[in-house]
Amino acid sequence: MNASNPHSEPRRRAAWAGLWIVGAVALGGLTVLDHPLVGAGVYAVLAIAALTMWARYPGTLFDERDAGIHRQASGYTIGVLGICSAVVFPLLTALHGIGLFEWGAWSTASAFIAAGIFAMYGVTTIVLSHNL
Amino acid sequence: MQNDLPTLRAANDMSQGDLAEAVGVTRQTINSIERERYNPSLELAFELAFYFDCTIEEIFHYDADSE
Repeated sequence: MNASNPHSEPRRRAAWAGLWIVGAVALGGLTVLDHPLVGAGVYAVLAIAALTMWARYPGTLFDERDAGIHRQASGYTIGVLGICSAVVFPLLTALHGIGLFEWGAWSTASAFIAAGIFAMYGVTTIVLSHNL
Repeated sequence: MQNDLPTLRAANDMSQGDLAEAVGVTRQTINSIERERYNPSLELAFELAFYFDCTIEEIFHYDADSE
């Protein structure tokens, strides 16, 4: 009755995550070590391996529960970004105004990226609210 | 949410993997539903009811106090 081996499911899921993680680490690490093309190549090979493994798995590897987990994780992540956009960065700006904080390259980039992502979340929410 | 999936599976001599494959989800999802750690979508609840030829209420038992 069961065509796919149920015991292979957790292993395949772990392999899926492992391939993406190793690929990302290879991309970042080899780029830092001044081998960006090799890093991108390793990442591409591992990404293709992960997608091929998923496509060829005879059963269901990811389902609605995984989608729910991702929704919850995304919610927590955007919540942190929202707090940064609404509280932390304005507070740092106020501190900058009274000379207690100096914006550096990394903190400025972080602030703009966090604010940009939260703005994207806001626009996506508005668009989805019109469709649901 | 309380449910009778383990009983229904046993009555049909099925493993969690068998049921998962029959309704198109992972074995972990069936396991989580049986342990009352995950509430299935309405679509999956219907799939399970269709599979066991019963109603959703015959599988899942809603208790507002415990939710």
